[in-house]
Amino acid sequence: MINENHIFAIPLIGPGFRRPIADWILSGPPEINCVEVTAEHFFGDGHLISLSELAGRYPLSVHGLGLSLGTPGPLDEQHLASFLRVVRTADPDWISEHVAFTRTDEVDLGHLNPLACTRNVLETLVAHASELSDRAEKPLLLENITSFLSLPGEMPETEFLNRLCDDAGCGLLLDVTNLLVNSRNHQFDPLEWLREIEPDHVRQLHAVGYTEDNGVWRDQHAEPIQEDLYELIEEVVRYAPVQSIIVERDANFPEVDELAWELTTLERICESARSHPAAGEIVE
Amino acid sequence: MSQPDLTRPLAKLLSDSRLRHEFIRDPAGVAHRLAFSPATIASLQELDTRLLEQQARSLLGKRRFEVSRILPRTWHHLGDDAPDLFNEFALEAAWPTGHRRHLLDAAAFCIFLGDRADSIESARIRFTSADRRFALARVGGHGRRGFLMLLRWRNTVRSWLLFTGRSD
Repeated sequence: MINENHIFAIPLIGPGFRRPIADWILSGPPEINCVEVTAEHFFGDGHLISLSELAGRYPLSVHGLGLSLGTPGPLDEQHLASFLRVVRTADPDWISEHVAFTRTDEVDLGHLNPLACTRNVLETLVAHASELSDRAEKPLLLENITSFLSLPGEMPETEFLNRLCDDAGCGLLLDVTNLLVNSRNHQFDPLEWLREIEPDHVRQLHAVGYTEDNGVWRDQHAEPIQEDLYELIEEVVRYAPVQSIIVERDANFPEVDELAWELTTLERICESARSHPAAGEIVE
Repeated sequence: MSQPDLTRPLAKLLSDSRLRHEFIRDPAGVAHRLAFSPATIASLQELDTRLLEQQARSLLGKRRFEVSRILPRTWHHLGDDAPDLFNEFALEAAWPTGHRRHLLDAAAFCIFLGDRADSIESARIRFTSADRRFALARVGGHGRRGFLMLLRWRNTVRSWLLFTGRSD
């Protein structure tokens, strides 16, 4: 069931908090409506001081990178405790993590890796997502990742994500760049993929420009958002009750005017999408 | 039959290039040697080994990128050799763990590089990663030599450079 208030309201739009643009974010420019902080950037007591400066200025979301929700067995208590400390300081509207694994009891790969879309993995993710949301006392969003590798599974990724959101009572943080990158590397139609996702699950978007090298597409978080991404974002905002969009640039930071222009462009696109909503349908 | 957990075997294959290359040549042999279950072996044999290698290279690339951001001067000094040197280092070095893993990786890479690392950057990163309160490091480069004094104060690292003369 789609909440009509959300389908007609313009999503909040803002950047991921990064040191090179911290002064700009803290100066309160009008283009920024919300901010996402990466939990692991604030692990360590000293760092929490700067986080408390940010809390209260903007609606925040706390985004995790290393809880490894797809790893069987209990969550890493030490990592979880640090994550929860950041949540308590930031008091965010949402928390988010990935549909992925980053480590096992033997190896910490340090970055996101794909999971097989199986009932066992679904069970693990649902248990971990529920525990995380309960202990943080915040609504949880889970993000689709990009991967070169696809693993043999028992159901399509879209069905897996729908069931995950239903069973864990969480929302989907749809990384539009990851969707486009995967669709190019694995040759599928991103709009068909989107059509298979329950619109009401999609609560937040991530976007950043992709990189392409010899026909291989990557999410290096180092480029401005390209035109085809803006088009896909517009389709998603028209399709689903998205409540916020985060631009997650990690490298090659341009002048802040360019970042502000990206946020303004996203707002214009959202206005266009929301003035012609097509809930449950995608206009191609 | 329920599907096996693939995270452990995948983590092994993605982090260990020798094991991965052996697996690509002889998947059944490696799977048996590591005592994977028949169901795990069946799932692993469905993997596209070209994409497995691409995923592993992507992970290594992300790890390398993080270290290059922590050691910009060293990376610049190494020039075109930097990626290959890091890959050589990564072949033997364990994958560091925890949220400070990139810092630990950078410190270990500096030790691997020895004199090829920027001495000031190396001293600073090794000090930061070691959680020490105070250190005095011998540094040099660009025809000069001296000492770097490092002090940790309220979760920040402060440093003072004292040049004592020209290096040979």
